[in-house]
Amino acid sequence: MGYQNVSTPRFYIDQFSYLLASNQVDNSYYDGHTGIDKNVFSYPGLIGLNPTSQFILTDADYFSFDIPTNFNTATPIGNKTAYVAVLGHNLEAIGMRVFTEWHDGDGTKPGIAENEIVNLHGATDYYPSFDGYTLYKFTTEPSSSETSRFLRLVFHKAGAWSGLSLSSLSWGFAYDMPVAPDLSLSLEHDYSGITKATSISGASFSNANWIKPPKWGDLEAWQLKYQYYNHYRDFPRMYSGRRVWDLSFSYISDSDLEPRNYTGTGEFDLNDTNYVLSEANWFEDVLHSTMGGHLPFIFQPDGGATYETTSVIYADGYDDVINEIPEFAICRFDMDTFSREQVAPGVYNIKIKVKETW
Amino acid sequence: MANQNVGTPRFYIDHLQYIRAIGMGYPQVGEDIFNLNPSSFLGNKPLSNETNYWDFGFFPQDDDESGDSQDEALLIPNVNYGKLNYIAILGHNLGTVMQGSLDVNFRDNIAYGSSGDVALSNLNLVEVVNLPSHTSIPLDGFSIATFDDYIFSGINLFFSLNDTGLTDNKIGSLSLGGYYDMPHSADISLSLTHGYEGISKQETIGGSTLSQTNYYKPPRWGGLDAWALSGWLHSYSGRRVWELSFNYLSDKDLEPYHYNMDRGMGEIAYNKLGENPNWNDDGNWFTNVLYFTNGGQLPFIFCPDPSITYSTDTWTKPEFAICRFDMETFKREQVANGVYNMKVKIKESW
Repeated sequence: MGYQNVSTPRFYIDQFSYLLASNQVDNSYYDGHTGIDKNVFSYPGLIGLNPTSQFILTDADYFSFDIPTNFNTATPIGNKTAYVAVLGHNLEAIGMRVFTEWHDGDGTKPGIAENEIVNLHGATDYYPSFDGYTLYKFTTEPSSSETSRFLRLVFHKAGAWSGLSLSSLSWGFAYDMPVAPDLSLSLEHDYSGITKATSISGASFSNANWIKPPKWGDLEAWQLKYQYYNHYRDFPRMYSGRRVWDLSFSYISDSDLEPRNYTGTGEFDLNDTNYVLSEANWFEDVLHSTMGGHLPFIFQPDGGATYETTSVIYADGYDDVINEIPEFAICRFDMDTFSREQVAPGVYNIKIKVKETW
Repeated sequence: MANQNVGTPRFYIDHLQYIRAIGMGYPQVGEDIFNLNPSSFLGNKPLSNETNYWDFGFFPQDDDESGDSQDEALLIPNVNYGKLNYIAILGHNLGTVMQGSLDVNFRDNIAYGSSGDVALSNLNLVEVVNLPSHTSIPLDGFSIATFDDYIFSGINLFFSLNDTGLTDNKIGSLSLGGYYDMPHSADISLSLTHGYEGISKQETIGGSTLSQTNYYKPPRWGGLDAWALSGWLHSYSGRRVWELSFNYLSDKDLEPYHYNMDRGMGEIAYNKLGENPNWNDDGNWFTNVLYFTNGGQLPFIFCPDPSITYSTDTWTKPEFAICRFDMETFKREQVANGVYNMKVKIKESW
């Protein structure tokens, strides 16, 4: 769609933030861990959605983080789609790849088939074309309940390397709204960080506490940058203001909004023989995991937007240009209550206000 | 239109204010004329006699004593000043004292030298008011001209006056940036307010009214009222505030296709609509206006009806005002697929 138009939105809900906020994981989760991967509690703030601070790392060959999942099942993905976001990185500049595995914490690491959303594959798969951020999705289940224990994010470059920048690592589940919002939506650019005063002579004084989100390292939030020999391209992102979306969704089925009941996520089929997972629904997948407006998530206003680049070949390399790219924002719900209003039996309308946060 | 009617408004957005606000450039040699505040004392006193140029940006020094600053310039990253296409000189007396010419020179960090890479005098000035060419300013007061679009990515620029005798030059403000014309005129239900909130009145116990005025119009720019030309009558009173609604704006008039602007080496990528990669080429509200004014933080020059032509024969000229947006949030409301309404409140400020 482009031009900041909104289509059927997608929410990327960070799993670790919820587990941390609900006290379901802590450092004791690493008891029995063999230590071949990094304990994420040694990197406070890295896992989650606060990419405005940055870690600078130095090591050799493989460097990986084990993110506790709190799973104990061979099928944690089910009918959902999982995602991984690496925000505020410089993987392109130092020629490093990123990939993901499940891990039992003791060396068993079944692989995962990643599908690019933005900037995963460059000239070589899993080597991003740009610095900035990378987003990909997967549906691969762990091979056993044991290997569901950790999600392992691996960074690799042969030999010694230094200067790897990482602002934030996020993983969780994506949720697509079942319908597009009503036509009467709005997008605001909010500048409430600016205060103006008028002197006694009528002169204006303006002070800006903030005008946009803080940078992620050297780049703007959600900016991509590319450098290859003398080919330099930094897609300057014109960031200004805080974005706020007011959206209404009409005629949503009850099963899209809530689980069948709150005591379990599944149900038996009509013959009472096969246990089927409940469908994705707004309450379980979004409200519950974000604690209403408490935890941030990644909002994609047009869930159907795609990422496309074109490679321009030179004698000494290649250069990627961006044809299409989805928009993203780290947001919270700017609401105290989430109300659904019935308009037909089992059919509801809802309204949401999504506010960019940092 | 005249009579203070509003046509299809134009916003002259001073990109130097934005560059200053984000800390990527600031005035160096000479007085601070790169400030959209022509009522400062600069309009009241002659500029220094020792110089005829005024610098803005970052300036490399010859640290290695090689005789030039080329190596040092390469260490300063170029700054994206955006698309420049207007110059305004406010609160000046150049109509009286300028005998030669004026110019603005732009420099990037490549092959850095004493002269500029690009000069305003080669960019085809088109007079808006009182600036028919870089060698002629007929009247004191203010001057505005547009010029060929120039996308400047560099480290500094300098404004110069040549052969003026360097006596008693007064310049209140030099404004440089890009203008943006709204895609269509405002709705008919607009309003123009003359604000006199600087006046306080008090009634005595005897019923007499005492009135105190802190201000009732913008301060003068040197010896003339704001936006006055020497020899022309100009009646200024109150602070003007416009409230405008724009309906049925296209999505591409409001925002770029995406925010990751391509200002690379000329390779072309096409989006699904077959459009050019530099999504800002045609201009839009967000990248041309909101971005460079930081919403309501930075002032700009507002022209409610740019279709009015400047004529010294009939004493007509378009109206201008230095304004800020009097809004915290800028909202667009969808009324059809990809079609939006929005409202703006523009308040004269000084």
